[in-house]
Amino acid sequence: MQSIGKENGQKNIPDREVVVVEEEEEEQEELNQDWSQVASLVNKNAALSLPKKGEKDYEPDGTDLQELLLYKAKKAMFDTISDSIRGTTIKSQVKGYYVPHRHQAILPKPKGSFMQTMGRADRYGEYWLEFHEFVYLAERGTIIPYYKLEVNSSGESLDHDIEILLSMEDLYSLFSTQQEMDQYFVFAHLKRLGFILKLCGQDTGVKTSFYPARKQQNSLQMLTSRLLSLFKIQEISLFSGFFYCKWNFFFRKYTTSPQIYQNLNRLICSVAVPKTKYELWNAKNGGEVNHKKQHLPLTFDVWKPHANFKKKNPGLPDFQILVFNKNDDLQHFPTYEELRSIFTSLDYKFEFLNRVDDDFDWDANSYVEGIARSEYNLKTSTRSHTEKKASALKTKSNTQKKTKQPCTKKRPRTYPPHIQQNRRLKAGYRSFILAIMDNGLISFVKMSEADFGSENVWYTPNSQNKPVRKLKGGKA
Amino acid sequence: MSKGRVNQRRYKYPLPIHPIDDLPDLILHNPISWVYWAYRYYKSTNALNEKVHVDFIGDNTIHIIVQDDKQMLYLWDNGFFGTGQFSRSEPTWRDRTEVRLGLNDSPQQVGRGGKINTETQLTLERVTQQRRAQRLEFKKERARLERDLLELRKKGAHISEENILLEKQRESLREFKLKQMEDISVVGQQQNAPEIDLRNEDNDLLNENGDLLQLESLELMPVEAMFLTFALSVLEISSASLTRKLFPSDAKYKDIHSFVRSYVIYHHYRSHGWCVRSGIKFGCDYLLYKRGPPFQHAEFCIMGLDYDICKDYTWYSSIARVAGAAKKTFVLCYVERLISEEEAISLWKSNNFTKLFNGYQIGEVLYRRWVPGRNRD
Repeated sequence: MQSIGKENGQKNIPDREVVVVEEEEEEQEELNQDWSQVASLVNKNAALSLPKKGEKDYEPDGTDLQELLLYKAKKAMFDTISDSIRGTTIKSQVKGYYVPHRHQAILPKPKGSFMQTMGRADRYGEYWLEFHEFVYLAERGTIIPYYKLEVNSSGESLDHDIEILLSMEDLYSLFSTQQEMDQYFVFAHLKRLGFILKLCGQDTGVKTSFYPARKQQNSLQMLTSRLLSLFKIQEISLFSGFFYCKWNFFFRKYTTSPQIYQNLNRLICSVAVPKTKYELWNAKNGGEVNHKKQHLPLTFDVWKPHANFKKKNPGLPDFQILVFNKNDDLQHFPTYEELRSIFTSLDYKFEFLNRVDDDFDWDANSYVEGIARSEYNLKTSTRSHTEKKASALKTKSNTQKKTKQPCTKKRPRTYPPHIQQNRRLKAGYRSFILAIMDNGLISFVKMSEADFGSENVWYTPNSQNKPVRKLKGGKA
Repeated sequence: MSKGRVNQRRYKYPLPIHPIDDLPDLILHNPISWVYWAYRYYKSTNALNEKVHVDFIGDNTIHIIVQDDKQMLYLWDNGFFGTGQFSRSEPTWRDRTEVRLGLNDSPQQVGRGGKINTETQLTLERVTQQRRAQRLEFKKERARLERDLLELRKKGAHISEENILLEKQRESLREFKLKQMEDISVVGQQQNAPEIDLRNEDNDLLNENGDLLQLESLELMPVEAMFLTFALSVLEISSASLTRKLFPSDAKYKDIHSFVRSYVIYHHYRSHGWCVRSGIKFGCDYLLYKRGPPFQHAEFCIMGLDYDICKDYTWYSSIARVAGAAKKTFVLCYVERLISEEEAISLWKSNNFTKLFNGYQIGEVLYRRWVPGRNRD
């Protein structure tokens, strides 16, 4: 492969070469490799298929069965790739030009399926890629990266006259910080798995938010909420005082264990965790007062792979990711203060709301430009042509069907309270993904808020010998 | 009687303070029953007749131990407090040794009210021992079958033949396992008389009447002792003198900080009904059981942290791995002090523990490994 690259007179283009194919027949957008052979190998016989991950023999058993299987699988794969033509056709080549002062790349003639999820056209009709998207596509071989020299001084026109083909090494050297590079690795890793990622600050079409546009909060409301929270703490100390007195059990009588527990659990208060839509709104408003300075901004919004993704109007992300480098002295694992400020800054499909209500309608409960997303979608669809209208209606009816179907399916899925409680405890509430970079290795951790303080798990013995678990006891 | 029933009765109360649950029925149309009820209500109390006595041994590190047989069992049966020094957790050394020495002709069921039937005499340690032996047997059987397969493979048999044999072997292994399961219940019933293997040292374990001495005692964690005396007043010793024993009287805040933090966390979970036990075996601070160890496996590993602390990522990752491998959920429990250090230490000195512990707040964060491939749809 390298020899071909040198013949073409281009330095250092690893893993990629341009094959000039003149024939008209080969005008497919992408060359398809014939994987049917491999597929047949897999399907023919379960024992002949590629050895599955993790099913290794414990030790060499003196026979060559394993080796034979491996050899067959490998050979099938090599045969497949050796038959196909490598490279891209010149007509379907997409060139990307890196523009240093914007630290972005411009594509004069963009085409390809990547446009569905990446890049953005500005109002002059020029198609721009973020730098990490540019590197990713170059690494995949989808676009060919060039460096665009700006030649203002010589007075030449700003056509892309001087362009330098970039190698992967060159591209990597263009990362401005180590942090950006770490972010790129996380981006590329998840992107390869099919997820759709956007930088959190990146402006993408319209911004969808779980929170409605902020109205001026009533100062009276704020005052009362403050007062209430103050009262709550005091109440705790007033009540709990006597319980811990030495003579408590001589003066007060408790006829059930839960009574004792209820007195015990007033002593230590726990952080209030928002669990419903309105609590989330309140937490957001209150949180902005408390945590003015946000220490750690989130890095990526992530959507699960889905075919109908709309760049212009993506809806709420499924996850939000914070990238952090373990070996960077300037970064550290978030402290609780920082975790809380991250939790308040989250704005995604809070999946725990689905736990209470399976049919929680996300379009009705997320806001685009100050109005509910469902309304917004309706507005945009009526604005467009009648054809589109028809298609929109079609999809709408489809979605209606879809929502109806799970209704019937999900109805019997009501779990007994103690199992629901267990799920609440184990899954927690607001959550984000922490991506930890360690010398090129990425580990992901899901951090979620938990609230053991509002769940009581004590067992109440009763005469019928029937286990009854108390659900949601009184939290002071 | 099933094991569940026995446990149900033995561990009826989740705390050593029992509720008043033996009040007579109130019959509405019978005023005498009202009087009787009122009398019984007046007479009964939650307080213990005889508080639990603890001893302190050791100079540098203080061990809080309960030595009385009845009280040891009482603390274990009512909330699973403490750990037997010669046992895994429940103080069973004496019972086990009696069985080993063949002394249990008249089983001493002190504290259990003789309610336990002889069928379940098998101590937990013995059950584990048996299970291990069975597992070993099973592995031997499996290895034998694997050798058969290799023989076939060496002869150059076709893969389809191998599959047939494999299927047969799996079936026979399944049967083997089933048979073992039956065996364990049989063994449990027949109370097999183990061959008594007396050593010379064993004579030292007996007193002049030939009865076994109780050498084991129940050791309490400092937070457990604090909970038992401060929150429930079950121990003889007062919370003030307990803390004097544990810390010098001129303690600074930094000396007491980690104890107070541990206690706050301990109390928090205890008070919501969890059975909280030490989590040292899983590299964390506490384990949370629903009801208690005999009923369910612990589901949560708790690690206490100050709210402004961040450790190296490796620290989180290692603990989470251990917790995850044991199928437990890892919880980071952050404790925030709402009062000033000076206030805290002065409350400590004036033994105003209620106000001291009330000055702390708890926040919890779940930490779980996230695998992108499993979260795609």
